[in-house]
Amino acid sequence: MAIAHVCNECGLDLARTRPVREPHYGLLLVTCPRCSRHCVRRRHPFVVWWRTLLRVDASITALGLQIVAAGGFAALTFVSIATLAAVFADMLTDGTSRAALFVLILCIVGLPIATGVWLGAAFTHLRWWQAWLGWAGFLYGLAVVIAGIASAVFMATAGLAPNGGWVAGTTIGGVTILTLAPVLVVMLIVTLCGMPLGRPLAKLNGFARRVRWRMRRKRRRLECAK
Amino acid sequence: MNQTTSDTRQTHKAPDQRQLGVLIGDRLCTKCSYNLVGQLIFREEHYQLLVVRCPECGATAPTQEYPQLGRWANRWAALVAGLWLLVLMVLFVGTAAALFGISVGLADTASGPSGFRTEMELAFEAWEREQNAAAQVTPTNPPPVQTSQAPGTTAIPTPPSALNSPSGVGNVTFTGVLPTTRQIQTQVATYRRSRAAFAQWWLGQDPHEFVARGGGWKNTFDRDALALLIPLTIVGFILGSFWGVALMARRRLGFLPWIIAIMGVAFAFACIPFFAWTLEAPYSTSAAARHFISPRALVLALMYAAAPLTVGIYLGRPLLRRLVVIMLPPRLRGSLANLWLTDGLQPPSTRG
Repeated sequence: MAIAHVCNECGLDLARTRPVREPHYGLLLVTCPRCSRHCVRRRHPFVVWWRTLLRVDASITALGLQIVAAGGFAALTFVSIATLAAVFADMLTDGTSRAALFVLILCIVGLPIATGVWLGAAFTHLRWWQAWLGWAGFLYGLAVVIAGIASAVFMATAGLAPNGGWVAGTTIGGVTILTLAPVLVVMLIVTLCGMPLGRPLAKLNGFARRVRWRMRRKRRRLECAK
Repeated sequence: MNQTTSDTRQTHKAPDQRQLGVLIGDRLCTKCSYNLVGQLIFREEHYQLLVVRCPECGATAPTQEYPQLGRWANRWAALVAGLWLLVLMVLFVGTAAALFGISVGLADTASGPSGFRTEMELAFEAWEREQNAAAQVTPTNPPPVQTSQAPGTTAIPTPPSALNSPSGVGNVTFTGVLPTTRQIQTQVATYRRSRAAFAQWWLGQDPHEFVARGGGWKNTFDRDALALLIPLTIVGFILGSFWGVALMARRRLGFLPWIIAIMGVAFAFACIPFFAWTLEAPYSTSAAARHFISPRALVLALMYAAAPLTVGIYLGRPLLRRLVVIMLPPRLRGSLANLWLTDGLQPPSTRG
Protein backbone atom coordinates (compact mmCIF):
# COMPACT_ATOMS: atom_id res chain seq x y z
CA MET A 1 0.00 0.00 0.00
CA ALA A 2 1.32 3.42 -0.89
CA ILE A 3 2.03 5.84 1.92
CA ALA A 4 -0.24 8.86 2.01
CA HIS A 5 0.69 11.97 0.11
CA VAL A 6 -1.85 14.52 1.27
CA CYS A 7 -2.54 17.71 -0.64
CA ASN A 8 -1.46 20.75 1.37
CA GLU A 9 -4.47 22.72 0.19
CA CYS A 10 -7.53 20.44 0.39
CA GLY A 11 -6.29 17.28 2.15
CA LEU A 12 -6.99 14.91 -0.71
CA ASP A 13 -4.68 11.89 -0.70
CA LEU A 14 -2.60 12.06 -3.85
CA ALA A 15 -0.90 8.70 -3.31
CA ARG A 16 -2.54 7.22 -6.40
CA THR A 17 -2.11 10.28 -8.54
CA ARG A 18 0.57 9.78 -11.12
CA PRO A 19 3.25 12.50 -11.18
CA VAL A 20 4.22 14.25 -14.40
CA ARG A 21 7.69 15.53 -15.07
CA GLU A 22 7.40 19.26 -15.34
CA PRO A 23 9.22 20.32 -18.51
CA HIS A 24 10.68 23.62 -17.35
CA TYR A 25 12.07 22.68 -13.96
CA GLY A 26 12.25 18.94 -14.54
CA LEU A 27 10.46 18.18 -11.26
CA LEU A 28 8.03 15.35 -10.63
CA LEU A 29 4.83 17.38 -10.27
CA VAL A 30 1.54 16.14 -8.86
CA THR A 31 -1.51 18.30 -9.44
CA CYS A 32 -4.38 17.84 -7.03
CA PRO A 33 -7.47 16.80 -9.05
CA ARG A 34 -9.74 18.53 -6.56
CA CYS A 35 -8.16 21.94 -5.94
CA SER A 36 -5.49 22.02 -8.69
CA ARG A 37 -2.76 22.78 -6.17
CA HIS A 38 0.65 21.61 -7.37
CA CYS A 39 3.17 19.81 -5.26
CA VAL A 40 6.38 17.91 -5.93
CA ARG A 41 6.77 14.24 -5.32
CA ARG A 42 10.09 13.26 -3.95
CA ARG A 43 12.39 11.24 -6.08
CA HIS A 44 12.60 7.65 -4.94
CA PRO A 45 15.32 7.22 -2.30
CA PHE A 46 16.97 4.46 -4.31
CA VAL A 47 17.48 6.89 -7.14
CA VAL A 48 18.66 9.59 -4.77
CA TRP A 49 21.08 7.22 -3.04
CA TRP A 50 22.33 5.87 -6.31
CA ARG A 51 22.97 9.31 -7.72
CA THR A 52 24.61 10.46 -4.48
CA LEU A 53 26.73 7.34 -4.49
CA LEU A 54 27.76 7.98 -8.08
CA ARG A 55 28.75 11.54 -7.22
CA VAL A 56 30.75 10.51 -4.17
CA ASP A 57 32.28 7.69 -6.19
CA ALA A 58 33.27 10.13 -8.93
CA SER A 59 34.90 12.44 -6.37
CA ILE A 60 36.72 9.63 -4.57
CA THR A 61 37.83 8.07 -7.86
CA ALA A 62 39.17 11.41 -9.03
CA LEU A 63 40.95 11.91 -5.72
CA GLY A 64 42.38 8.39 -5.86
CA LEU A 65 43.58 8.87 -9.43
CA GLN A 66 45.19 12.16 -8.49
CA ILE A 67 46.99 10.56 -5.55
CA VAL A 68 48.10 7.61 -7.68
CA ALA A 69 49.29 10.00 -10.40
CA ALA A 70 51.17 12.11 -7.86
CA GLY A 71 52.75 9.03 -6.30
CA GLY A 72 53.54 7.54 -9.70
CA PHE A 73 55.15 10.67 -11.10
CA ALA A 74 57.12 11.19 -7.89
CA ALA A 75 58.31 7.57 -7.90
CA LEU A 76 59.23 7.81 -11.58
CA THR A 77 61.13 11.02 -10.86
CA PHE A 78 63.26 9.37 -8.19
CA VAL A 79 63.73 6.24 -10.31
CA SER A 80 64.83 8.54 -13.13
CA ILE A 81 67.39 10.18 -10.88
CA ALA A 82 68.77 6.78 -9.92
CA THR A 83 68.80 5.75 -13.59
CA LEU A 84 70.56 8.98 -14.51
CA ALA A 85 73.27 8.27 -11.95
CA ALA A 86 73.79 4.80 -13.43
CA VAL A 87 73.81 6.13 -17.01
CA PHE A 88 76.32 8.84 -16.13
CA ALA A 89 78.53 6.25 -14.49
CA ASP A 90 78.35 4.09 -17.65
CA MET A 91 79.06 7.08 -19.85
CA LEU A 92 82.17 7.90 -17.84
CA THR A 93 83.52 4.39 -18.28
CA ASP A 94 82.17 3.27 -21.67
CA GLY A 95 81.55 6.58 -23.43
CA THR A 96 78.34 7.96 -24.86
CA SER A 97 76.01 5.53 -26.59
CA ARG A 98 72.70 6.02 -28.38
CA ALA A 99 70.82 4.06 -25.71
CA ALA A 100 72.35 6.17 -22.96
CA LEU A 101 71.33 9.37 -24.75
CA PHE A 102 67.80 8.04 -25.18
CA VAL A 103 67.54 7.28 -21.46
CA LEU A 104 69.01 10.66 -20.69
CA ILE A 105 66.45 12.49 -22.82
CA LEU A 106 63.63 10.35 -21.44
CA CYS A 107 64.59 11.11 -17.86
CA ILE A 108 65.53 14.77 -18.19
CA VAL A 109 62.95 15.85 -20.76
CA GLY A 110 60.23 13.22 -21.31
CA LEU A 111 59.19 12.55 -17.77
CA PRO A 112 59.25 16.18 -16.54
CA ILE A 113 57.25 17.30 -19.59
CA ALA A 114 54.66 14.57 -18.90
CA THR A 115 54.57 15.67 -15.27
CA GLY A 116 54.08 19.26 -16.35
CA VAL A 117 51.21 18.31 -18.65
CA TRP A 118 49.56 16.47 -15.78
CA LEU A 119 50.08 19.40 -13.41
CA GLY A 120 48.68 21.80 -15.98
CA ALA A 121 45.64 19.66 -16.78
CA ALA A 122 44.70 18.36 -13.33
CA PHE A 123 45.25 21.46 -11.21
CA THR A 124 43.35 24.08 -13.15
CA HIS A 125 41.74 25.25 -9.92
CA LEU A 126 45.17 26.38 -8.70
CA ARG A 127 47.38 29.03 -10.18
CA TRP A 128 50.25 27.62 -12.23
CA TRP A 129 52.87 28.74 -9.74
CA GLN A 130 50.89 27.25 -6.84
CA ALA A 131 50.76 23.87 -8.58
CA TRP A 132 54.43 24.02 -9.47
CA LEU A 133 55.58 25.13 -6.03
CA GLY A 134 53.36 22.51 -4.41
CA TRP A 135 54.84 19.81 -6.61
CA ALA A 136 58.38 21.00 -5.89
CA GLY A 137 57.65 21.03 -2.16
CA PHE A 138 56.17 17.55 -2.38
CA LEU A 139 59.24 16.19 -4.19
CA TYR A 140 61.68 17.82 -1.79
CA GLY A 141 59.63 16.57 1.15
CA LEU A 142 59.81 13.08 -0.30
CA ALA A 143 63.56 13.48 -0.77
CA VAL A 144 63.89 14.34 2.91
CA VAL A 145 61.75 11.32 3.84
CA ILE A 146 63.84 9.03 1.60
CA ALA A 147 67.03 10.41 3.15
CA GLY A 148 65.54 9.94 6.62
CA ILE A 149 64.61 6.34 5.89
CA ALA A 150 68.06 5.69 4.44
CA SER A 151 69.61 7.08 7.61
CA ALA A 152 67.25 5.18 9.89
CA VAL A 153 67.80 1.86 8.12
CA PHE A 154 71.54 2.39 8.15
CA MET A 155 71.56 3.28 11.83
CA ALA A 156 69.30 0.38 12.67
CA THR A 157 71.24 -2.26 10.81
CA ALA A 158 74.82 -1.05 10.72
CA GLY A 159 75.55 -2.23 14.22
CA LEU A 160 78.03 0.57 14.76
CA ALA A 161 78.70 2.28 18.02
CA PRO A 162 75.80 4.59 18.87
CA ASN A 163 77.60 7.88 18.24
CA GLY A 164 79.34 6.65 15.11
CA GLY A 165 76.00 5.29 13.88
CA TRP A 166 74.27 8.63 14.32
CA VAL A 167 77.04 10.52 12.57
CA ALA A 168 77.24 8.06 9.69
CA GLY A 169 73.47 7.85 9.36
CA THR A 170 73.06 11.62 9.30
CA THR A 171 75.85 11.88 6.77
CA ILE A 172 74.12 9.37 4.54
CA GLY A 173 70.88 11.34 4.79
CA GLY A 174 72.65 14.58 3.95
CA VAL A 175 74.49 13.04 1.00
CA THR A 176 71.22 11.61 -0.31
CA ILE A 177 69.55 15.01 -0.21
CA LEU A 178 72.55 16.75 -1.74
CA THR A 179 72.56 14.19 -4.57
CA LEU A 180 68.84 14.51 -5.24
CA ALA A 181 68.52 18.29 -4.95
CA PRO A 182 70.36 19.60 -8.04
CA VAL A 183 68.89 16.99 -10.38
CA LEU A 184 65.44 17.79 -9.04
CA VAL A 185 65.97 21.49 -9.80
CA VAL A 186 66.68 20.70 -13.46
CA MET A 187 63.70 18.37 -13.71
CA LEU A 188 61.39 20.90 -12.06
CA ILE A 189 62.42 23.60 -14.52
CA VAL A 190 61.59 21.30 -17.43
CA THR A 191 58.32 20.45 -15.69
CA LEU A 192 57.48 24.14 -15.73
CA CYS A 193 57.85 24.10 -19.52
CA GLY A 194 55.34 21.27 -19.81
CA MET A 195 52.63 22.95 -17.74
CA PRO A 196 51.29 25.25 -20.48
CA LEU A 197 50.58 22.14 -22.57
CA GLY A 198 48.24 20.80 -19.92
CA ARG A 199 45.92 23.83 -19.77
CA PRO A 200 44.50 23.39 -23.29
CA LEU A 201 43.87 19.73 -22.50
CA ALA A 202 41.85 20.72 -19.44
CA LYS A 203 39.91 23.27 -21.49
CA LEU A 204 39.20 20.65 -24.16
CA ASN A 205 37.90 18.29 -21.49
CA GLY A 206 35.70 21.03 -20.04
CA PHE A 207 34.34 21.84 -23.49
CA ALA A 208 33.52 18.18 -24.15
CA ARG A 209 31.74 17.98 -20.81
CA ARG A 210 29.67 21.05 -21.55
CA VAL A 211 28.72 19.66 -24.94
CA ARG A 212 27.59 16.41 -23.38
CA TRP A 213 25.60 18.35 -20.78
CA ARG A 214 23.87 20.46 -23.43
CA MET A 215 23.03 17.39 -25.50
CA ARG A 216 21.53 15.67 -22.48
CA ARG A 217 19.40 18.66 -21.59
CA LYS A 218 18.25 18.97 -25.19
CA ARG A 219 17.32 15.31 -25.32
CA ARG A 220 15.34 15.59 -22.08
CA ARG A 221 13.60 18.75 -23.31
CA LEU A 222 12.57 16.98 -26.49
CA GLU A 223 11.33 13.99 -24.51
CA CYS A 224 9.22 16.25 -22.29
CA ALA A 225 7.82 18.14 -25.27
CA LYS A 226 6.54 14.95 -26.89
CA MET B 1 -0.45 18.93 -22.26
CA ASN B 2 1.74 20.35 -25.00
CA GLN B 3 -0.03 23.66 -24.75
CA THR B 4 0.56 23.74 -20.99
CA THR B 5 4.17 22.89 -21.54
CA SER B 6 4.81 25.69 -23.93
CA ASP B 7 2.91 28.14 -21.72
CA THR B 8 4.91 27.14 -18.72
CA ARG B 9 8.14 27.54 -20.59
CA GLN B 10 7.18 31.02 -21.68
CA THR B 11 5.84 32.30 -18.39
CA HIS B 12 8.67 30.97 -16.20
CA LYS B 13 11.71 32.29 -17.92
CA ALA B 14 12.16 34.74 -15.06
CA PRO B 15 10.47 33.56 -11.89
CA ASP B 16 9.56 35.97 -9.18
CA GLN B 17 12.41 35.63 -6.73
CA ARG B 18 11.00 37.32 -3.66
CA GLN B 19 13.01 36.17 -0.72
CA LEU B 20 11.08 34.14 1.82
CA GLY B 21 14.04 32.70 3.63
CA VAL B 22 17.59 31.47 3.35
CA LEU B 23 18.64 27.86 3.20
CA ILE B 24 20.77 27.30 6.29
CA GLY B 25 21.14 23.52 6.10
CA ASP B 26 23.28 21.39 3.81
CA ARG B 27 21.51 20.50 0.60
CA LEU B 28 23.29 19.43 -2.55
CA CYS B 29 21.91 20.26 -5.96
CA THR B 30 20.50 17.09 -7.51
CA LYS B 31 22.16 17.88 -10.81
CA CYS B 32 25.59 19.37 -10.18
CA SER B 33 26.14 18.64 -6.45
CA TYR B 34 26.64 22.29 -5.66
CA ASN B 35 25.93 22.94 -2.00
CA LEU B 36 22.84 25.15 -1.87
CA VAL B 37 23.49 26.38 1.66
CA GLY B 38 22.87 30.15 1.86
CA GLN B 39 20.65 30.31 -1.24
CA LEU B 40 17.38 32.23 -1.23
CA ILE B 41 14.12 30.36 -0.77
CA PHE B 42 11.34 31.85 -2.87
CA ARG B 43 7.81 30.92 -3.89
CA GLU B 44 7.61 29.95 -7.49
CA GLU B 45 4.71 31.97 -8.86
CA HIS B 46 3.09 29.50 -11.23
CA TYR B 47 2.89 26.37 -9.07
CA GLN B 48 3.22 28.22 -5.76
CA LEU B 49 6.03 25.90 -4.71
CA LEU B 50 8.77 26.86 -2.29
CA VAL B 51 11.95 26.37 -4.27
CA VAL B 52 15.65 27.12 -4.29
CA ARG B 53 17.63 27.67 -7.44
CA CYS B 54 21.10 26.30 -7.93
CA PRO B 55 23.37 29.22 -8.84
CA GLU B 56 25.70 26.87 -10.69
CA CYS B 57 23.43 24.98 -13.09
CA GLY B 58 20.11 26.72 -12.60
CA ALA B 59 18.29 23.56 -11.50
CA THR B 60 15.28 24.10 -9.27
CA ALA B 61 15.08 22.23 -6.00
CA PRO B 62 11.74 22.04 -4.19
CA THR B 63 12.08 22.51 -0.47
CA GLN B 64 8.73 20.98 0.46
CA GLU B 65 9.23 17.36 1.38
CA TYR B 66 6.60 14.65 1.37
CA PRO B 67 6.68 11.09 2.66
CA GLN B 68 8.05 8.41 0.41
CA LEU B 69 5.53 6.32 -1.47
CA GLY B 70 6.85 2.92 -0.45
CA ARG B 71 8.28 1.02 2.47
CA TRP B 72 11.14 -0.81 0.85
CA ALA B 73 13.38 2.20 0.95
CA ASN B 74 13.65 2.04 4.72
CA ARG B 75 14.12 -1.73 4.64
CA TRP B 76 16.94 -1.47 2.14
CA ALA B 77 18.41 1.39 4.14
CA ALA B 78 18.48 -0.81 7.23
CA LEU B 79 20.09 -3.62 5.23
CA VAL B 80 22.74 -1.33 3.79
CA ALA B 81 23.42 0.13 7.24
CA GLY B 82 23.81 -3.38 8.63
CA LEU B 83 26.19 -4.35 5.84
CA TRP B 84 28.21 -1.18 6.41
CA LEU B 85 28.40 -2.00 10.11
CA LEU B 86 29.56 -5.51 9.26
CA VAL B 87 32.25 -4.17 6.94
CA LEU B 88 33.39 -1.76 9.64
CA MET B 89 33.58 -4.58 12.19
CA VAL B 90 35.67 -6.71 9.82
CA LEU B 91 37.96 -3.75 9.13
CA PHE B 92 38.13 -3.04 12.85
CA VAL B 93 39.42 -6.56 13.54
CA GLY B 94 41.62 -6.29 10.43
CA THR B 95 43.22 -3.11 11.76
CA ALA B 96 44.01 -4.75 15.07
CA ALA B 97 45.31 -7.85 13.25
CA ALA B 98 47.56 -5.76 10.99
CA LEU B 99 49.12 -3.93 13.94
CA PHE B 100 49.46 -7.21 15.81
CA GLY B 101 51.07 -8.95 12.81
CA ILE B 102 53.75 -6.32 12.27
CA SER B 103 54.39 -6.15 16.02
CA VAL B 104 54.85 -9.92 16.22
CA GLY B 105 57.31 -9.76 13.33
CA LEU B 106 59.15 -6.99 15.11
CA ALA B 107 59.18 -8.89 18.41
CA ASP B 108 60.45 -12.03 16.70
CA THR B 109 63.18 -10.06 14.93
CA ALA B 110 64.13 -8.36 18.20
CA SER B 111 65.21 -11.71 19.63
CA GLY B 112 67.93 -12.00 16.98
CA PRO B 113 71.65 -11.47 17.51
CA SER B 114 72.34 -9.01 20.31
CA GLY B 115 74.57 -8.42 23.27
CA PHE B 116 72.19 -10.39 25.45
CA ARG B 117 72.19 -13.38 23.15
CA THR B 118 75.95 -13.34 22.71
CA GLU B 119 76.46 -13.39 26.45
CA MET B 120 73.97 -16.21 26.81
CA GLU B 121 75.61 -18.28 24.08
CA LEU B 122 79.05 -17.75 25.64
CA ALA B 123 77.74 -18.81 29.05
CA PHE B 124 76.07 -21.88 27.62
CA GLU B 125 79.19 -22.89 25.69
CA ALA B 126 81.25 -22.49 28.87
CA TRP B 127 78.77 -24.65 30.72
CA GLU B 128 78.87 -27.22 27.93
CA ARG B 129 82.66 -27.34 28.10
CA GLU B 130 82.46 -27.89 31.83
CA GLN B 131 79.99 -30.68 31.32
CA ASN B 132 82.13 -32.31 28.68
CA ALA B 133 85.19 -32.06 30.87
CA ALA B 134 83.28 -33.62 33.74
CA ALA B 135 82.05 -36.39 31.46
CA GLN B 136 85.62 -37.15 30.37
CA VAL B 137 86.82 -37.36 33.95
CA THR B 138 84.00 -39.73 34.94
CA PRO B 139 82.94 -41.46 31.71
CA THR B 140 80.36 -43.64 33.42
CA ASN B 141 78.46 -40.61 34.63
CA PRO B 142 75.26 -40.02 32.74
CA PRO B 143 75.11 -36.79 30.77
CA PRO B 144 72.89 -34.03 32.18
CA VAL B 145 70.17 -35.07 29.84
CA GLN B 146 67.00 -36.97 30.51
CA THR B 147 66.82 -39.86 28.12
CA SER B 148 64.27 -42.52 27.52
CA GLN B 149 66.68 -45.26 28.37
CA ALA B 150 65.88 -47.61 31.16
CA PRO B 151 67.93 -47.29 34.34
CA GLY B 152 70.98 -49.41 34.35
CA THR B 153 71.65 -49.39 30.64
CA THR B 154 74.67 -47.77 29.09
CA ALA B 155 74.07 -44.05 28.83
CA ILE B 156 75.36 -43.42 25.36
CA PRO B 157 73.85 -40.33 23.77
CA THR B 158 71.49 -41.24 20.98
CA PRO B 159 71.42 -39.08 17.88
CA PRO B 160 67.90 -38.08 16.97
CA SER B 161 68.25 -39.61 13.53
CA ALA B 162 69.05 -42.94 15.09
CA LEU B 163 65.52 -43.08 16.46
CA ASN B 164 64.36 -43.84 12.98
CA SER B 165 67.19 -46.19 12.18
CA PRO B 166 66.50 -49.79 11.49
CA SER B 167 68.64 -50.74 14.42
CA GLY B 168 66.04 -49.58 16.88
CA VAL B 169 65.58 -46.98 19.54
CA GLY B 170 68.50 -46.42 21.82
CA ASN B 171 70.54 -49.07 20.15
CA VAL B 172 73.40 -47.16 18.66
CA THR B 173 74.89 -49.14 15.85
CA PHE B 174 76.83 -46.87 13.58
CA THR B 175 77.79 -49.42 10.97
CA GLY B 176 75.95 -48.94 7.75
CA VAL B 177 73.16 -46.78 9.13
CA LEU B 178 74.76 -43.38 9.01
CA PRO B 179 77.19 -42.73 6.19
CA THR B 180 80.11 -40.90 7.80
CA THR B 181 81.64 -40.48 11.16
CA ARG B 182 81.65 -36.72 10.73
CA GLN B 183 77.91 -36.65 10.39
CA ILE B 184 77.55 -38.75 13.49
CA GLN B 185 79.78 -36.39 15.37
CA THR B 186 77.73 -33.45 14.18
CA GLN B 187 74.56 -35.12 15.31
CA VAL B 188 76.03 -35.92 18.65
CA ALA B 189 77.13 -32.30 19.02
CA THR B 190 73.67 -31.18 18.09
CA TYR B 191 72.23 -33.56 20.57
CA ARG B 192 74.39 -32.08 23.29
CA ARG B 193 72.65 -28.81 22.64
CA SER B 194 69.36 -30.55 22.73
CA ARG B 195 66.26 -29.26 24.37
CA ALA B 196 66.57 -31.03 27.67
CA ALA B 197 70.17 -30.05 28.23
CA PHE B 198 69.52 -26.43 27.46
CA ALA B 199 66.35 -26.33 29.55
CA GLN B 200 68.24 -27.72 32.48
CA TRP B 201 70.94 -25.10 32.10
CA TRP B 202 68.46 -22.27 31.59
CA LEU B 203 66.64 -23.06 34.83
CA GLY B 204 69.69 -22.01 36.80
CA GLN B 205 70.26 -18.77 34.93
CA ASP B 206 69.25 -15.20 35.64
CA PRO B 207 68.47 -13.53 32.29
CA HIS B 208 68.90 -10.08 33.79
CA GLU B 209 72.52 -10.94 34.40
CA PHE B 210 72.98 -11.47 30.64
CA VAL B 211 71.25 -8.16 30.03
CA ALA B 212 73.70 -6.41 32.35
CA ARG B 213 76.71 -8.22 30.89
CA GLY B 214 75.54 -7.58 27.32
CA GLY B 215 75.54 -3.81 27.76
CA GLY B 216 72.13 -3.15 29.27
CA TRP B 217 68.66 -3.09 27.70
CA LYS B 218 69.96 -0.99 24.82
CA ASN B 219 71.89 -4.00 23.49
CA THR B 220 69.32 -6.60 24.44
CA PHE B 221 67.18 -6.17 21.33
CA ASP B 222 68.36 -6.92 17.81
CA ARG B 223 68.63 -3.61 15.98
CA ASP B 224 67.21 -5.11 12.80
CA ALA B 225 63.86 -4.89 14.54
CA LEU B 226 64.05 -1.09 14.45
CA ALA B 227 63.67 -1.23 10.67
CA LEU B 228 60.23 -2.74 11.17
CA LEU B 229 59.16 0.39 13.03
CA ILE B 230 58.92 2.11 9.64
CA PRO B 231 56.15 -0.15 8.23
CA LEU B 232 54.51 -0.19 11.65
CA THR B 233 54.40 3.62 11.63
CA ILE B 234 53.18 3.88 8.04
CA VAL B 235 50.53 1.18 8.38
CA GLY B 236 49.37 2.53 11.74
CA PHE B 237 49.05 6.05 10.36
CA ILE B 238 47.20 4.96 7.20
CA LEU B 239 44.77 2.76 9.14
CA GLY B 240 44.29 5.53 11.68
CA SER B 241 43.53 7.98 8.88
CA PHE B 242 40.97 5.57 7.48
CA TRP B 243 39.23 5.35 10.86
CA GLY B 244 39.39 9.10 11.29
CA VAL B 245 37.36 9.42 8.10
CA ALA B 246 35.13 6.38 8.58
CA LEU B 247 34.06 7.43 12.07
CA MET B 248 32.34 10.52 10.77
CA ALA B 249 30.14 11.00 13.81
CA ARG B 250 33.09 11.05 16.21
CA ARG B 251 35.17 14.05 17.18
CA ARG B 252 38.08 14.62 19.55
CA LEU B 253 37.45 12.59 22.70
CA GLY B 254 34.95 10.44 20.84
CA PHE B 255 37.86 8.75 19.07
CA LEU B 256 39.48 7.58 22.29
CA PRO B 257 37.17 4.58 22.92
CA TRP B 258 37.87 3.37 19.37
CA ILE B 259 41.62 3.69 19.79
CA ILE B 260 41.40 1.79 23.07
CA ALA B 261 39.16 -0.83 21.50
CA ILE B 262 41.47 -1.39 18.50
CA MET B 263 44.53 -1.64 20.71
CA GLY B 264 42.60 -3.89 23.10
CA VAL B 265 41.83 -6.32 20.30
CA ALA B 266 45.46 -6.14 19.13
CA PHE B 267 46.63 -6.93 22.68
CA ALA B 268 44.11 -9.77 22.85
CA PHE B 269 45.60 -11.22 19.66
CA ALA B 270 49.05 -10.70 21.15
CA CYS B 271 48.19 -12.99 24.07
CA ILE B 272 48.61 -16.00 21.74
CA PRO B 273 52.33 -15.55 20.93
CA PHE B 274 52.95 -13.89 24.29
CA PHE B 275 51.93 -16.98 26.24
CA ALA B 276 53.49 -19.29 23.67
CA TRP B 277 56.84 -17.56 24.15
CA THR B 278 56.51 -17.17 27.90
CA LEU B 279 55.19 -20.57 28.90
CA GLU B 280 57.29 -22.73 26.61
CA ALA B 281 60.51 -23.93 28.22
CA PRO B 282 63.46 -22.69 26.15
CA TYR B 283 65.35 -25.47 24.36
CA SER B 284 68.02 -23.40 22.60
CA THR B 285 69.62 -19.98 22.76
CA SER B 286 67.28 -18.63 20.10
CA ALA B 287 64.27 -20.00 21.96
CA ALA B 288 65.57 -18.53 25.20
CA ALA B 289 66.01 -15.18 23.51
CA ARG B 290 62.43 -15.41 22.22
CA HIS B 291 61.32 -16.47 25.69
CA PHE B 292 62.91 -13.48 27.37
CA ILE B 293 63.02 -10.72 24.73
CA SER B 294 60.09 -11.22 22.38
CA PRO B 295 57.24 -10.78 24.91
CA ARG B 296 58.76 -7.51 26.08
CA ALA B 297 59.39 -6.37 22.52
CA LEU B 298 55.82 -7.29 21.57
CA VAL B 299 54.32 -5.18 24.35
CA LEU B 300 56.61 -2.28 23.49
CA ALA B 301 55.80 -2.56 19.77
CA LEU B 302 52.07 -2.58 20.39
CA MET B 303 52.36 0.40 22.71
CA TYR B 304 54.33 2.17 20.02
CA ALA B 305 51.74 1.20 17.37
CA ALA B 306 49.10 3.09 19.32
CA ALA B 307 50.95 6.35 18.61
CA PRO B 308 50.74 6.42 14.77
CA LEU B 309 47.21 5.02 14.98
CA THR B 310 46.16 7.88 17.26
CA VAL B 311 47.92 10.50 15.15
CA GLY B 312 46.31 9.05 12.02
CA ILE B 313 42.84 9.06 13.55
CA TYR B 314 43.11 12.67 14.63
CA LEU B 315 44.88 13.94 11.51
CA GLY B 316 43.12 11.74 8.93
CA ARG B 317 40.08 13.93 8.39
CA PRO B 318 41.90 17.30 8.24
CA LEU B 319 44.48 15.71 5.96
CA LEU B 320 41.80 14.38 3.61
CA ARG B 321 40.08 17.77 3.61
CA ARG B 322 43.34 19.40 2.63
CA LEU B 323 43.91 16.77 -0.07
CA VAL B 324 40.41 17.31 -1.46
CA VAL B 325 40.94 21.07 -1.69
CA ILE B 326 44.35 20.67 -3.33
CA MET B 327 43.63 17.75 -5.62
CA LEU B 328 40.03 18.09 -6.73
CA PRO B 329 38.49 20.73 -8.96
CA PRO B 330 35.68 22.69 -7.27
CA ARG B 331 32.80 20.90 -9.02
CA LEU B 332 33.82 17.56 -7.45
CA ARG B 333 34.09 18.89 -3.90
CA GLY B 334 30.39 19.32 -3.21
CA SER B 335 29.63 15.63 -2.72
CA LEU B 336 32.40 15.41 -0.10
CA ALA B 337 31.00 18.33 1.91
CA ASN B 338 30.30 15.99 4.83
CA LEU B 339 34.01 16.00 5.62
CA TRP B 340 33.58 19.64 6.65
CA LEU B 341 30.04 19.57 7.95
CA THR B 342 30.73 16.74 10.38
CA ASP B 343 33.26 18.97 12.15
CA GLY B 344 31.02 22.03 12.01
CA LEU B 345 33.13 23.70 9.34
CA GLN B 346 32.06 25.62 6.29
CA PRO B 347 32.42 23.45 3.16
CA PRO B 348 34.82 24.81 0.55
CA SER B 349 33.54 26.83 -2.31
CA THR B 350 32.50 24.77 -5.30
CA ARG B 351 33.16 27.68 -7.61
CA GLY B 352 36.47 27.92 -9.33
